[in-house]
Amino acid sequence: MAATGALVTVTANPSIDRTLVLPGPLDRGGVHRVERTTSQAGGKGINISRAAVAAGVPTLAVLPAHDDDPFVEEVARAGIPCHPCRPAGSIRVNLTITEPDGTTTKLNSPGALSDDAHMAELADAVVREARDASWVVLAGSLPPGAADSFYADLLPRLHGLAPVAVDTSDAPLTALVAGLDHCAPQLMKPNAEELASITGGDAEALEADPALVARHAAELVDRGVAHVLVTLGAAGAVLVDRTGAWHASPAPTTVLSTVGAGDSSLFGFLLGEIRGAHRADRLALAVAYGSAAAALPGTGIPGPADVDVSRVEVRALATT
Amino acid sequence: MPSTSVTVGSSVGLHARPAALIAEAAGGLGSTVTINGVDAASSLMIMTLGAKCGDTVEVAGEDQAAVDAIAALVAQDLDAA
Repeated sequence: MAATGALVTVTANPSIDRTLVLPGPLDRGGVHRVERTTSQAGGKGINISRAAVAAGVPTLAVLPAHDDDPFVEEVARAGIPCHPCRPAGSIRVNLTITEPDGTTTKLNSPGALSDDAHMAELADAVVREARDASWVVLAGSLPPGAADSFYADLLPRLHGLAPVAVDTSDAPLTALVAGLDHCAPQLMKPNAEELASITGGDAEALEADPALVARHAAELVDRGVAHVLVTLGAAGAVLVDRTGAWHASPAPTTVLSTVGAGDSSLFGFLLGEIRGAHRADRLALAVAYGSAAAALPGTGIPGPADVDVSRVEVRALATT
Repeated sequence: MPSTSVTVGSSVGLHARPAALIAEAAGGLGSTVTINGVDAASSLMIMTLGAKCGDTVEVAGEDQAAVDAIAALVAQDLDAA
């Protein structure tokens, strides 16, 4: 594997996340003066590329967007190299309205309807960029109109080009799991709910029992996934591969926003892999990165200086 | 806060053995020293920097002598030791 290549991220359904901060309560039907607005290019792939830039890891974000879309401008301003493909339309805007008492109203747009030709162009771009990639990360939801099997169909085309990490949910995850015996990614990063949706069981019971998580995740390893990283929120994360299973617990963290924490955890693991760290150390980095993201407001993405790996405890789990 | 720019001297960069030797030394100092903002007492965090031989890194801390000690190690070829 070309460890010097770029960490290629795919954001199939990007959004501009705009926050409007109101100085008083929201009044339906009224006219408001907005105190402050912030705007950030969003999507799991973009979050991971953002973390890569902060850590000095070469990265490339592949996504459908017009070259002059404000999204592409935001991404460029953040220092993220970008490969825009022909989009189905303008990038959707997700609005968050916050009031002084902490009430938050979200208005999420569906995004433009993609057809098979759009998705084929995106897939071709990913395959082209994968030739020089350290990893390819397929993360997040798919746009309206895309086949649920987009990620599952992309995997065999990436085989032998670069290791692939997948972090998705719902129908795209189900399709991926259905195709595992045909082609499996090197890394999957479900949370407890997503793992339960694959292997059965109860998400809450999983979050409370790392050994149970390890047994469930081992089913995916048996079906060919090299590494399964299960993020468990405040309970840390579990890593399972052919050689064993580990659980890492974070230090107590004052949580400001869990948005972006899972993406940061996935990046922490990949950073450890790219830098040649041992398995348990990659898991420790994943958990330390997740904690660091949770301690930042909004979609805050941490850099290495925000990360305190010394306060993460890793222990081996029995896998039988 | 005292800080200094130093060129990485180890032929393999700040990886494996050099990272371990620096972290061991930093752990034995009375004060915290950082390399490019990460804790120099953690070999893992040093490794995440991906600093190669010839790269310039920033060593910083509260104590000048501690900063100088870690900067000197960063500048050495620790893999040849």
